[in-house]
Amino acid sequence: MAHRRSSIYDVIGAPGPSPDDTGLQLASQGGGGDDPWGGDGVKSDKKSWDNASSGVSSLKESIGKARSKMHAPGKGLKADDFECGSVLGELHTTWEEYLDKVSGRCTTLADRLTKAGGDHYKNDQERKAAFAKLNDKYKDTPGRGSKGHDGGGR
Amino acid sequence: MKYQTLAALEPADLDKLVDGFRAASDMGSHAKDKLNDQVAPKMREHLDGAAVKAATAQVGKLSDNFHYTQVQCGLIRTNIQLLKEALEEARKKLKNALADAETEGLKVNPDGSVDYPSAGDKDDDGKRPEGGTATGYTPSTPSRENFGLGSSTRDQAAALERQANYQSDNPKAAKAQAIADDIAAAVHAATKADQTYAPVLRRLKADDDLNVSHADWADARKDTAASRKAAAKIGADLPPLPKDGSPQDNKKWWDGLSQDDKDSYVALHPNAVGAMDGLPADVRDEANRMKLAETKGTYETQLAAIPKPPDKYILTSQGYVTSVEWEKWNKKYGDRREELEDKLKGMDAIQKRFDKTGKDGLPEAYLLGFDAKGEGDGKVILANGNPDEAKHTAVHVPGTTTNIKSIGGNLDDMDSLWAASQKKAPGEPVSTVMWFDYDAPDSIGQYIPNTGNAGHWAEDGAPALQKFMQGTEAAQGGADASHTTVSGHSYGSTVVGQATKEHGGLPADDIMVQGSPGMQVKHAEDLGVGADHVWSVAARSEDDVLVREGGKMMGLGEGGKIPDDIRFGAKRMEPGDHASLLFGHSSYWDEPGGRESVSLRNMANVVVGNYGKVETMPEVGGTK
Repeated sequence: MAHRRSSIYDVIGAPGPSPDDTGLQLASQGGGGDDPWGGDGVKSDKKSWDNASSGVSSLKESIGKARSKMHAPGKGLKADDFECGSVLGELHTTWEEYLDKVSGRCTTLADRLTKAGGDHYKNDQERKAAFAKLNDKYKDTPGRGSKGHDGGGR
Repeated sequence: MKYQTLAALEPADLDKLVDGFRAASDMGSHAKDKLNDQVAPKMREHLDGAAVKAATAQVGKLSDNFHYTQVQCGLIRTNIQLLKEALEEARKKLKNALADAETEGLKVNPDGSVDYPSAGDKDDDGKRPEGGTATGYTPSTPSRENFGLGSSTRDQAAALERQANYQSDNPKAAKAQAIADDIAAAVHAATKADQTYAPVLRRLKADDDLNVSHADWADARKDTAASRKAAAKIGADLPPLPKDGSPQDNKKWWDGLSQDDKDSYVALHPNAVGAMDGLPADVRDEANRMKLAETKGTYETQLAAIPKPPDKYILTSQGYVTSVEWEKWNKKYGDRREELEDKLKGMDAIQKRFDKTGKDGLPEAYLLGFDAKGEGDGKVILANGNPDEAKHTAVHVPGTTTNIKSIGGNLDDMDSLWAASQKKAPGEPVSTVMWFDYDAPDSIGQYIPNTGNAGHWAEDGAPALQKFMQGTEAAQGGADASHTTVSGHSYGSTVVGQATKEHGGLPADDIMVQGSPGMQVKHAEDLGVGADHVWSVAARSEDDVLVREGGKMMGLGEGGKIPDDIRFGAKRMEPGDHASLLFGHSSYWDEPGGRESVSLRNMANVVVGNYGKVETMPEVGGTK
């Protein structure tokens, strides 16, 4: 049987502001529709953006904690005829770099989220563009890229 | 590897690396969950507009970085752990051999051979047995020096030499040979572990960009396979899987594993763990999300590799005709492309559900089962809310024509049922599960008219459903842990009925069916939950009548009785009015005008055990 679904979001109505949602309602326009987002209305309040920002930002601390437990292979693993020893060294380096970059991504995203809640951007479209622009920042590089295409390593 | 290297290695140093990558993997898991289950849902709940959509998309991409970290570092952790165990074992063997040599006063040479002196006593013939050198040997030592030399010749020569030493009149010769053999075996095992794991670990270097692409996930799947192969090659031991274990056995087995072994199982065998009934929902969810990401990456990569089709129609003097190039292309790629696109549609529908978490209170999703192929049409088992912690659990089996391609509609139905049920039982966690793990009939026409055994899809699917329900009960902590309703739509109800006949029955408190064409039993009582806990709803629309009467005709209801018949003995729920007199068979979960339909309300009241509020039909007035 073909399914034609209306979304559940109409069922229990639009959510009211949560008890901690004391921020400013910046704008409100339009509304309704079948979009799971509840339509093309705009709902924006500083506190919710700030909460999202600090949620993202808090992950930098988590990364830092994990990083503090990651150590380069000790001397007991170094030998010319123990291949894994040097590979483990490379692994350690690349993952340190990766996690540092992810931490940087948290910083950038947290910053945009904070700005979105403030008056940095003129309107919803400007805020949207600021987030969409981040896609260009994190494109695939040919470097290590996909392992399948460069013969094993990356 | 030289034996001195092995002797000097400190495998315990690998523990620090294991701990580091475990920390990274765990961090990835928690951070991903925080973004998916807290940050993004709160944004969806309190914010709206184009910006927040773009913002949550970025949160999702950041979450991918953490998921990737979790999966890859988890795999690295497991590989290093197994490498360490192999090296430790080899090193122990080497140390024992070296200690033996010292005790015996034998000299071990730099190449691992062992010198032995001439014997102190003279032989019968008056000669002193000579001293010599014993060279250890393992037949498959991958020593480069031996390449080019026929291994059989080498084997024979070595065997003769070893035999001579073991049978020598000089007692030290046999001892030296045994020690040399142990040294060689230890070095061989360590070298094999090193050479097996070096290329696998090299694969697992972190990506140098932050875009977690389809190709990255496709690679991750290959990494998992390569790691599994490496473990098998060096004979790494994980506790064996319970063979054909019951869900209770599975739970016991899992609970008895060390955290290291649990982590290794998830890393190396996500498919087995994700499909194992009886395991905690969050463990299955992690394994299946890994499988979903890797499968999607693989399918997307394969789809992208299919060349673009040439123009289908070309203009000729006879007008437009199908081009030969297109025909050729279609013959080669057409079916495969369609298959990939269909499966990807299903995977996207699952992702869409993940992305809805938090919107209007929808709880976290748990992917309890996933396979692109499954029993043919794909496999998707998805829970709204953690069933292990639910006070009320509903497991729903969709019916005819269900396919991974269109699974989004079935998932939406369970979203609706969750919302309606949770509203009726505030504070009591509800979990609604969409269970699709059987080969559903592709059309009603497949069982109408008589085309053989109309019940075979149900017979094939019932054992899996019953095991899943047993597993859910085991993971929840027993029969009393949650009030459980098993629901079946259309042919899905036939599967439910059949499952009650499986050994041990169906562990459920209530059974509820929508538009049932028959349940393979004569009477509601036969379903094992008590007739007053069997609920049926049947739409008044023509398509629903067709399904029901068709099923009856085909014998899906034993003795010609189906749940909507009064004589069947089920509680018949009021279906309410459907929008159309023709179509209503799939409208049970509808919310016309944003309000729950009568049927949805009634079903939700069953799910939360508000039996008194279920609107039933009078049990009079029919000849059924």
